[in-house]
Amino acid sequence: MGYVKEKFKETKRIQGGWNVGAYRWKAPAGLLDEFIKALGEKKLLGSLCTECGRVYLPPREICSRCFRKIDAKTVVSNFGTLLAFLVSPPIQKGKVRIAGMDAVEMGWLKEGEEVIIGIVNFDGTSSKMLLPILNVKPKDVFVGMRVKAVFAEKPTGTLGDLLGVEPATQVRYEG
Amino acid sequence: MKKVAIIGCGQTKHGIRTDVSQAEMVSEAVWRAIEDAGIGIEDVDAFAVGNMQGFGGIAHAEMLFADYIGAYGKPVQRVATGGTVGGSIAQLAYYQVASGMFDVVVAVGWEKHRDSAEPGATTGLLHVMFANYSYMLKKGMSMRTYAMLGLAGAAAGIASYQAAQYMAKSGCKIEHFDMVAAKSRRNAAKNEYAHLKWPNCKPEDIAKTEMLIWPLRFGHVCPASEGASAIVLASEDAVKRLKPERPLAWILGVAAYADEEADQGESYQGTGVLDYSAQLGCILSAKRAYERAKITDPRKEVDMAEIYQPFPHQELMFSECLGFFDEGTAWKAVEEGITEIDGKFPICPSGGVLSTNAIGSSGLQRVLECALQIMKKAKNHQVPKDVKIAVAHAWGGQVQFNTVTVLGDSPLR
Repeated sequence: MGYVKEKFKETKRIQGGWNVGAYRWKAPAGLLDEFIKALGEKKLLGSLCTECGRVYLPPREICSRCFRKIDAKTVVSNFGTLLAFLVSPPIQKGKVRIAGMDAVEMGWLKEGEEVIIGIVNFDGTSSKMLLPILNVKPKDVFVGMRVKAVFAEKPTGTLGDLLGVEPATQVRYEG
Repeated sequence: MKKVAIIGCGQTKHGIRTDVSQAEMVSEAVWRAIEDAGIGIEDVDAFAVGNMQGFGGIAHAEMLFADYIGAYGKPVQRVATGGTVGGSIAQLAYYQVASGMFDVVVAVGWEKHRDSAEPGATTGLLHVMFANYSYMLKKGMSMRTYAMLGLAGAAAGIASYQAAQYMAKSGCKIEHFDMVAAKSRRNAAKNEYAHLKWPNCKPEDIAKTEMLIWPLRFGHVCPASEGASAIVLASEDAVKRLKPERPLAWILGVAAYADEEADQGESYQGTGVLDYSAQLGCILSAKRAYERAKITDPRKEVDMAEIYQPFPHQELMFSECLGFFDEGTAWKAVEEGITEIDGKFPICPSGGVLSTNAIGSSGLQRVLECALQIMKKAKNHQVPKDVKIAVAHAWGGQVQFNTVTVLGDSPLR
C-alpha cells in the first residue's frame, strides 16, 4: 500500500529550531497614536466609515464591509455590553508559560486567581474588543452585562492605559 | 459545467502516526483512494492537496511527497485556508473537473503534528497571532493583560467565546455539549479510521473531565490527530470511460464564503465580527450550495450531514446555520436523539472532527464520509436510513471561512 518504507518502523526526531522571534511587521504608522493619547484622557477614540456609518474600535484603516479607506475619527462611549466571556480555572504556578517564562513567577498572573476575559461591544461601535473583565467575581458575570472601561490612574501613553472593563449599573425593573 | 462524481475514497488510520513520514502517510491515503476507485495512477490528471500551513514544522510538505503520490509530470496545486482547508481542497478538485480542465483529479488532505516539538502551535498558529501581539506589546500593552488574553489562546479560546455566545442565544447548557461530545466518541468507536474512540461513552463521563476554560471542558476538545484522507473525482465522461464497478457519489453543489478575521484585526485594528456564533458565512454558503444542488427544503431533502465540529457547540450552531433546525433549537434535537447515528437526521456518524482532527484531513473527511454514506460503504458507522443527499461542511480561518458541499446518489438533473 503506497510507498511505506517497511524497514523503518519509527520516524526519528532530529533537533532543530526555527527563529520566528524576529521578523518585519508593517504596522500602519501612527494609526494607534491618537487612540493611545485619548486613553490617557480616559476616552475611547474609534474610526468612522462615512460610507456605511460603521464605527470601529480600535480604529482601523479600511472598512471591511465597504473596502474603502476610513479617514474620520470619533469618540465613542466608555460604556458597552459584554457579548461573551471566558473564565479560567484558578491559576497555578507552573501551568501558564509565556516565551518560556512562568506567568505567576513573573508576577503577570496571581496564584489562585480566576481570570475573566470577554468580548466587549462599546456603545455606538460596530466592532468588538477582547478585554479583561475586572473587579467582579466569575459568578456575577453574565452575557449581556453592561460594562464600562477601566483606565490606568496614571497614564503612561501606552496601550496599557486601558486596563479592561468592569460592571456598570445594571438597570432592572423594581416595581 | 461537467457533472462530477466521487469514484474512490481512501483514508489512513488517524491518531498518533510516528510510524510513517508525512510523505508515506499521504501516499497511503492516495493509493487507497486510487485502488478503491479501481483505476491506475495513469488515469489521474491532477492533484489538489493541502494541510495547515507550517504545521508539523514543514511548510511545503507537497515538495516531499509529490513523487510518493505519483504526481510526476502532473499538476499539483496546494490550498491553504486554515481549518477549512480540507473543504477547500475538495472544492478545488471539483472546480478542476467541473470546468472541463481535467477528467480525473485526486484531492488529498493531511496533518502530522508531532513532527515538530510543539504540536502545530509554534510553527503554525504563531503566524496568526505572534506579529499582532508583538506589536501590541511594543505599543505598551501590559504583560498582565497579555498573559490574561493569552489564556484564551488558539482555537480553543476562540471556540470558548463562540460557545458562550451560542449558550446565551439558544439557552442550551454545558450538559448539551457533554451529550454531543459523548455521541461523537461513541460514533468514533465504530469508525476504524477515527482517533478518540470511546464505546458507550455517556454524557456523565464527559462531565467528569476538567474544565479547561469555562464553558469548555477537556472532554469537549478535539484531539491533535495525524492522518490523511483522499478522494478521486471524475467527470461524467471519465465515469463512462473508466466504468468504475462500484456505487458513486455525485457532487451536486458547492459554495464557500469568506468573512473578515474575527478575533483581532491586523495591528490591533477593530473587527466587525461581533458574534462568533452567527456564522453568516455558513448560512450564505449553504444557501448558495443548496441553490446549485436544486434543494429547496434542506429539512426534507437532506438525509444526513457531516459538520466541522472540533468543539461540541459547533455541531449545534452550524446545524442551525445549514438550515436543519431553527436558530437556537439544535440542542433540543440532541436531547431527542434525532442526530444519533440511527436517528431521524444523523450528524457526524463518523465521530466527526471532535474525535479525529488531523486538520488538513478533517474538512476533506467530511466530504469523504458523506460519500461513504451515500455509497453505503461506511461499514460499522453506516447510518441505517437510506442516504440520497448529504451535506459536508468545513470551517476555519479566524472564525471566518466556511465551505459547504452537497452530495447525492445520482447526478444533478
